Amino acid sequence: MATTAATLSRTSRSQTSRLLRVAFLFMLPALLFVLIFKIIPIAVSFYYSLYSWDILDVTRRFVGLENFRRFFETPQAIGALRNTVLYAVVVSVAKNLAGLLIALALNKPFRSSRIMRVFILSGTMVSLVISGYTWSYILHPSLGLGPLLERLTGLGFLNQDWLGNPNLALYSVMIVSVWQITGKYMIIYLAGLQTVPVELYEAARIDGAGRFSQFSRITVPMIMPAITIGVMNAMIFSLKVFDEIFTMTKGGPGFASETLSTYLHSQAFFFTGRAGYASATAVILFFLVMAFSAVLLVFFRKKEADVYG
Amino acid sequence: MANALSVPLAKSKALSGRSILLQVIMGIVTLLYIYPILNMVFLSLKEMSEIYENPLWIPVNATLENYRVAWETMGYPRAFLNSLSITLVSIALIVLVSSMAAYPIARYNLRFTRIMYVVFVSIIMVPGQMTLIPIVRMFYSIGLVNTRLAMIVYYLSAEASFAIFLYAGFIRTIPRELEEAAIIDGCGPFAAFSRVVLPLLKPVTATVIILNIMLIWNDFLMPLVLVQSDRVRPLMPTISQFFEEFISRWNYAFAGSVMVVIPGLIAFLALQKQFVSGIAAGAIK
Repeated sequence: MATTAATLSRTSRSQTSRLLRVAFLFMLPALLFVLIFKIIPIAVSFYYSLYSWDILDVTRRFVGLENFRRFFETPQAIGALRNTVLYAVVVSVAKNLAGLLIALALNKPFRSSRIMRVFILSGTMVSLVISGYTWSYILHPSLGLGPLLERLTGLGFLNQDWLGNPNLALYSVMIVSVWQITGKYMIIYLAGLQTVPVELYEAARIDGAGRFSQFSRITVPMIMPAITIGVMNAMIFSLKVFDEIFTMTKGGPGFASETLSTYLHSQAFFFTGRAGYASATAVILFFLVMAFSAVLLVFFRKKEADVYG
Repeated sequence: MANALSVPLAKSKALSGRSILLQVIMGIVTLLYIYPILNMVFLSLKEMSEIYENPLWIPVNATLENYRVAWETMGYPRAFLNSLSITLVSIALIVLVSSMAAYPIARYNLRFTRIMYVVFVSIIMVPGQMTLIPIVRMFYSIGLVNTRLAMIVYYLSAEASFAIFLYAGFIRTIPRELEEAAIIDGCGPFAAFSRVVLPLLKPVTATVIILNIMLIWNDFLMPLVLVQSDRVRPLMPTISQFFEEFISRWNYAFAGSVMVVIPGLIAFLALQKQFVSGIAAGAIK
């Protein structure tokens, strides 16, 4: 018996090491690329953030947390941080609300619903860059919709320099971001709504539940996975916003619509000697994404494994 | 995953007042979503003089001249081929490398594979901005800047982990019996993977391909900083540069935009079902 057990454990150990070798070979290409071009650069960003440095590596000097101190003392940087958080919160809520409302309205077996779904996806299909440019025109103070809307409704405030007014620019970009991606959230919520068994609504109607309580007691709990995914997804994407800001306002007027991504892009590539400072900005963005994800995960009472599973 | 666009059609019933109102509201909402795209097409067909008189509606004197100018000045064929080759090669590599890496994660219960799975999954959420500066620096020093290869290497490394996550989840749902039979018949693990498992991965591969087409074809920030030469610049940064150049020549700029948008729209209309189920399946990122 003892010998058999020993042989068994020996073969299973040698089998484990054989499996390990095979597993390693299967994973080697992915490991190499992800390690060299993803994991190491992430670590290097932390390292660079502690240095005064320019991207062509002429000078590199250790400065500790100086870059972070400078970030929090620079009004433009604080503005970018504030804009990023404001933008992400508003846009994440708005994307999900718009997607959910449209999904509810179009979750019907009419041919017209199908056509509308395709049209609402058009922004998602033409890319953020193109969406940004077409909306730059729509929001143009003399050629865009503003003058027409004022003529039609008599409401003067609709005729604005939407992208040129520092108080409005960030909000105008928000509208475009939501417009562009609504189709994607509509699909997430349509898929969620289709998992709700129709019998639940029938039972609720028999019990005399009204439309609203059907929605809040059946629909919302049943599509909670879709809501979790939608909000997490929107938050992570929105904190990284770059394309629509770059194409519509370049962070302006002044720095009115600057976000962390546009700020670190201009600091790293339009100025010399600020690569370390830009890396510190990237690290701040990283912690912001992690913090928001953690808060949302707790909020939705879900472990990360559940979100990904 | 239920396909959101392919709900069976009901026989048209008599519509209640309420649902007619809803249809009207949704009609207006849909118009709001499609109009900016239509207006882009209108503008691309107008002379500048007409744009000033008729800035928002169907052109009266439509002309294709803008397309000729845009075609000649923005180097469309080259930018299109750059986008196409970068997207195709990146996706082929992502599919191959990620499905291979996911196989032992899904099949071998080893500490090594469990740890690697956690590593891959936890970097999914790290923003690309975290790697931007070191990647540019690295590609400068190894002479990869201004090459399509740089973009391909970047996309492979950036997108492999999410694809591994999708593949591992899918492989776990495939019964082991087929592979075990193949191994008993004398197949090695690599043959078992490539002959038995790989052909079964079509549905999840479709999701991976669709998600990465949208990501890579439409990506803007990375090519903006990695490419300074017209020779290798893909479509998105090309159209952006074109807009900067023709800042008040909206007709040329939008003719260029329409040309940039067309390949994506053709792909979408041809593969509508796959796009919709891909978006739904990949939304967890």
